[in-house]
Amino acid sequence: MGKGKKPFPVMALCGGIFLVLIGCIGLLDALWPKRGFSELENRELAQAPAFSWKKLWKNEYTPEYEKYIGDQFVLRDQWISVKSRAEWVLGKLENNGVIYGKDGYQFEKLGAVEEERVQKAMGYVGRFAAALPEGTRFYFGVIPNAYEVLPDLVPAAAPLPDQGEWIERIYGAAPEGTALLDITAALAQRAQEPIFYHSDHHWTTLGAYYGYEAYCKEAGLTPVALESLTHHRVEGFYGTLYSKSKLFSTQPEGIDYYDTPAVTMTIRVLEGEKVVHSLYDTEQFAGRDKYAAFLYSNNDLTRIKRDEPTAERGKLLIIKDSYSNSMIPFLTNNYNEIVVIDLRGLSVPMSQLLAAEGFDDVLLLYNFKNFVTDVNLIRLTW
Amino acid sequence: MVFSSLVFLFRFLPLALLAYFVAPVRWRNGVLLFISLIFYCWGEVRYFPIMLSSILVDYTLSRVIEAHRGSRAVCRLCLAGSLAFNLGMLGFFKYTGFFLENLNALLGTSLRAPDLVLPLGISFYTFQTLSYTIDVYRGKVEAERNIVDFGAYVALFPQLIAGPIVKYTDVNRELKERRRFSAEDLGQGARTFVFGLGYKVLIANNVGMLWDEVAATGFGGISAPLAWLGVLAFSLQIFFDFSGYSLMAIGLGRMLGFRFPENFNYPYVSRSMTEFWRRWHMTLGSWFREYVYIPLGGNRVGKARLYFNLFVVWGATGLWHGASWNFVLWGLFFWVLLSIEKAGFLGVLEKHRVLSHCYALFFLLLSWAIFAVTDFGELGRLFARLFSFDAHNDFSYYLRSYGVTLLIGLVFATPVVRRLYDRAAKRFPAVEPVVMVLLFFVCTAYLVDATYNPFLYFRF
Repeated sequence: MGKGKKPFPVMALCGGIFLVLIGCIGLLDALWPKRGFSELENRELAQAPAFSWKKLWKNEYTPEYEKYIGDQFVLRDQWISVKSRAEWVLGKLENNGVIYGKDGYQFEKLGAVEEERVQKAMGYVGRFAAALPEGTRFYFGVIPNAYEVLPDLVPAAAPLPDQGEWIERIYGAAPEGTALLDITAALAQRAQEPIFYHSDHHWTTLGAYYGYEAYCKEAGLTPVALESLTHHRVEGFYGTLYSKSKLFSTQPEGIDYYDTPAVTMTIRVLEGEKVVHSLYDTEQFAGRDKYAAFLYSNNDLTRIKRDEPTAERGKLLIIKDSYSNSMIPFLTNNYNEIVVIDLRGLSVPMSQLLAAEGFDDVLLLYNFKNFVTDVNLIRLTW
Repeated sequence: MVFSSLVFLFRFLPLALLAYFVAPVRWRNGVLLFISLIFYCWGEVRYFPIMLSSILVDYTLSRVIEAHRGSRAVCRLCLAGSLAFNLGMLGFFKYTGFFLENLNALLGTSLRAPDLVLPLGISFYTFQTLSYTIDVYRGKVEAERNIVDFGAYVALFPQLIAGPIVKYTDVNRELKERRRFSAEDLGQGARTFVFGLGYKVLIANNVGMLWDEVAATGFGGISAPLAWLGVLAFSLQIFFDFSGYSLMAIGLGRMLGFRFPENFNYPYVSRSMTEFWRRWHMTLGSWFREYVYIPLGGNRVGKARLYFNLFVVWGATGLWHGASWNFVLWGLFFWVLLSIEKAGFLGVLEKHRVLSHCYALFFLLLSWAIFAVTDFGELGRLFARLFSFDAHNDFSYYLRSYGVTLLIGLVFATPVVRRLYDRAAKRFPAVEPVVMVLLFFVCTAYLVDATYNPFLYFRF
């Protein structure tokens, strides 16, 4: 700074910059086109609330307005990505309930398991098994979630319940005569292979195949060889864990599926029934939620019939969550008919269903998280 | 509306500043009152009459005191009226539930408290209007004649909800003078505001997540290191949250042409509790000193009376922080330590530098544990874990995940960064705008992200 020269008015500059920042971002935001739906978040975004004195008086207007500003903020997705980077700089190991593991794996964070809920669930399973008609074989499996199978990839001492121990306890409480599927062991042996998605909470189709193998072994069926099936691969899959964490370094992955014998699939939907001839809703592969392609996502009741009933066994009932959606295509090689039930949407009483159909085998298959949290298991006993 | 929100930053503030600076200088208090009332009503429109009556009551009572200086009886009556009104409001809204709860426990009754939402900032502005009427009563300051000017003081939006507690005598000159637009003030204010925003959004919120997580796990089975980590996180959270909010308030005040008193002065570098309370929430401490401790006789009294006076002040300070016994316990915890220090321990602390820092930090962490946990059963469990010598490894994950954040918090809790920054800014003035803009952008990203709420209907 030379003598006699006035010092540069840096504070005045700061004041000016600040005004420009809040003014311009504010103005830009006000004029920015509003969006209806966010692909990223998979939900409708809040729209400008209509003003009324009544709403203001009831303290409803201002929270709605704040929500609207948040949802519609200018370049919203880009800001979120900036934050994700900042968190990475800070070395955070998790965001929004997703734990960052090694090799780009993301794991869903699981809270403490509620003992009471598990006991209740096992009570329902027991009553369900007891109500099965004579001669029906009952299979039960809990699929471990990724972190249990891939412990080396999980950050040390991450606060997660020990699924292995819990599954053992759950199996210990299973009704007598139940055929228990050791899926944990089947997956653990293959832990080096890509059996779980990096950014989605499901197992991959390969993981599902190993689950299928474990079931066949227990049920005395001959698993179809993977190499003998026609293989398809869809690229560009970002899963649910990415949706939650928004980790900027997430890589898209491939999603595999295999052709099945010719089938007719009847899906019970709200308006009645929908009949299709493939297990894959290939339109979904083009969208964001690609896993929803398997079995046309989760439906109340789905019946899959082989066009040529030449399989080694007759009729299977499978009560499941979405993990099974990618495994069921393999089962069409072994059964002439499969009835798929999702308890969360089931609209007929279970007892009625069991009485009306003659099932050779019944499989109850859940992933660990769902089994210990789902309140709909009570419908097993309805 | 909180300062650290998108609505405040990108809607309210630009419009408020525009209205304020475009208005003729002599209208500025009117504009200020108007925008402050909108700010107040945004959070809870139904309590608008409370704010209005607060302004009217203290305005009127002080005018009456001023007009009847000769009559002690009238003056005392007015003062009593102001005390009854302000403390009555605070008591009614903040402590009714607490009072009835204890009464029920004591008498076995089951009186139901009315379901009241605490009016925004009532703990702060009742203390401010009280200070005003007391000062008028004491003849320290003349009663304000212009109700708009007085209303602008009471409702002044920067300090309305979370302080600092600005006494009328702190700002009465600025309130009456013509505050012209000053780019220098605006810049200084903006810088202070953005620093405060960073404290709150980047440090307090992030480090607070660690505490939340430890609290959510429950204190039952955690290791001692994790318990200490959690308490440390809470200690940093409350400091950066509160001081960040104060900085934002001070910055906003500066932009509008006011100089509010400082509220925090690196409290965690203190070497005694006595020093801590000269550095922590300074405007509250000085309020209690001026309007409670000194009227009780201060320290010009006998030993027994002195400790009683301190007891009253610290019990009240505790209770002011919240309507729950743990806050009272927290206040009395300080009473005990401050009394020990007054009895001579302070001399020992002054001689031992390292010891005094360790002493202060240790007891401050414990004090925040008391502050953080409302339920005494839980509090007992937390203390049991703090001193459990159980070091099973449930903490390394948290240490890794929050290590950098904690470190940043610890460093920023000392004056080191500020010193380095000031030196750098002196040599390279460009540092100032660059840091401000970067900080502002990152804060905005965090605020936008907080609204991110993915709906995962892909059922499992």
